[in-house]
Amino acid sequence: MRSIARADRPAADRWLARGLALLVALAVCAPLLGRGYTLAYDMVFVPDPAFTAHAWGGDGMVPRAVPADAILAVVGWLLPMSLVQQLLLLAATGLGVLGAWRVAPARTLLGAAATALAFGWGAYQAERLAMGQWSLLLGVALLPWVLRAGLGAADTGRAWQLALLVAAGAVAAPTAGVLTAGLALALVAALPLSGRHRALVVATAGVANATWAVPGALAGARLGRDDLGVAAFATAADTPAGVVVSALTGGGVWNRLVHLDSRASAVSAGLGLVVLAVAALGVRALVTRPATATRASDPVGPAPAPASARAGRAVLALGIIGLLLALVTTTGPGAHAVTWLTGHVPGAGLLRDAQKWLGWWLLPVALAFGVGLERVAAWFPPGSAVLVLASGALVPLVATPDYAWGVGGRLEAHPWPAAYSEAARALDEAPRPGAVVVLPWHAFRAWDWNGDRAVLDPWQRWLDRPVVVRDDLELVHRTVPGEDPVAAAVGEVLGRGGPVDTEALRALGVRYVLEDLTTAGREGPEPAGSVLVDNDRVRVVDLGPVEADPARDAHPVRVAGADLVALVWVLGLVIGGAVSRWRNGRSRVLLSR
Amino acid sequence: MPLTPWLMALIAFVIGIVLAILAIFMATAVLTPAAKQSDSPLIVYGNDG
Repeated sequence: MRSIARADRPAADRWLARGLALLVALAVCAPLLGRGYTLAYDMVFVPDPAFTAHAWGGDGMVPRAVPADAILAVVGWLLPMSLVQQLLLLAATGLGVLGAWRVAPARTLLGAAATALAFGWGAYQAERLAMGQWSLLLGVALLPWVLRAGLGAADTGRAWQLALLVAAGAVAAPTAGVLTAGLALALVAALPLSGRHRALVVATAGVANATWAVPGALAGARLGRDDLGVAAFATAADTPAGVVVSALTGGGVWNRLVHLDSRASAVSAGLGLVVLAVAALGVRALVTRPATATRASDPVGPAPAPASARAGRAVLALGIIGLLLALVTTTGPGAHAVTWLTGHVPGAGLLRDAQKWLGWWLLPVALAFGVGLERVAAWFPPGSAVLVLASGALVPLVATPDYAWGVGGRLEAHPWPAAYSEAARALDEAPRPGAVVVLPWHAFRAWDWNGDRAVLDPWQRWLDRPVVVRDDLELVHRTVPGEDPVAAAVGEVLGRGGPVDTEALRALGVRYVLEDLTTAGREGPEPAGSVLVDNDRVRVVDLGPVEADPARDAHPVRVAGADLVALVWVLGLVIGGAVSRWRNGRSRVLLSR
Repeated sequence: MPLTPWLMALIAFVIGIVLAILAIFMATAVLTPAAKQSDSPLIVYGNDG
């Protein structure tokens, strides 16, 4: 019988990891790889995204996808956006699997596969992907790579890879930035690194996350106590076993509309608890150095280089913090505390959607699961042990089968109808200044050509001019107020009833009204003005010239300064890393002579 | 202990069942129409319980 020890079969260890990552990415993303764009909830990709102040955070609004939108706009000059989206989705679903395998402390190929699947396949990924939060998933997928780079830094004394990964997380999304930076900081605190390298990682975390934190803090003056948001976005039970088990097993996103059918059965929660129980058996190995001496005849084989116990403890501690953060707003005092923070600390709004922090929890569970499974397998004779390992590795798949195929058919690619591009072109060429207000006065759309899925309004990303969209989040049971004062003023004008007061809109800097004709929620009379575009899906009305674009309390110079510093810093890291790599390679060549 | 033929058959059987469940699920997902939000006139961001 061939050994299944990773140390005995390094080539298999590399290629099986890549193969499994590709298989998982394709199993999830297959329906998203067709012609067009996958649009759902927060995931809005458009064919020709505009590089606007909104995209890089210079318009004074609370940043949501900053600076990712700006980077995507630049990438869109070089590559088709549909291809960019597909590559990002494949990365968000596959990178975590590959990274978890690489960093798994398991000694066998099947143990590493168990870690990879426990980390990369579960309710967390499925529910967040169904909500279109690809950038969060990209950040979570980077976590095992951050751990790997941290261990590498402790080994080689070079920390630029770790710093670059922190920067990558920061530009993906604010929460992704905090997740990756949090793990990196925990690792540099725990691992024996030089002061210089610690400073490099800490400084990168600050500089890279400033790209969204600076515009966020500058917009912070308008933030108030958000008790509605804290209550609405608290972790929710998606299994019959309650909210604690739901969170422990990686699920429990607040939005019940994306809860998985499989999670409604006790089987899924039960299998999730089996994963946790097995992981509990592996925790000791995670936080202490695993034994390296094993019998040569043992099919499990000798251990590969053990993961540092210090890193293991840091990962476990951060995982427990993530779990507690996910559960804190489900308790009365916890919800009060977070509500207070949202009113007094800029950026505390990140704590509202609490279940996101489970990203930290997934990593120690997955790492310990692979090792724990090997302990369980060791109770059996070698032949049966392989069966136990193989079956155990597949438990995450069986527990959440509906992550496959675009989260059980919830996601699918569709091309944008040409009518939208026609309206975008006309508005980009239309006289300036003047903002565009998008009607119906709601934040989300649902189109028949996209399977009637709820999608965030796309026009702020598409148009190369200011766009005002309602930013209140309308939920089934409550509406969480938005933070844009211009949108609030426009909403007040539109809510007066009777004919649309075009003079009042123009006084606010609004020149154009774009009506989305095929989504639900249309109401009220047509605004008066000259028609610029009128096709089967979009009508654009020109209300007449305005003196200036809508005025917001924007600080473009300060935000651009923070962006410039971050850009130069990251370029420095890339160049420094490349030079370090080249020198390393050269010294190896010289030594071998 | 070497893998006996019956043990290999058992491994193949268990893994086969798991893969079959996944295959059936995926085929069902492909053949059924995509999940839709409610027919209500308001498109909501989510159900907050």
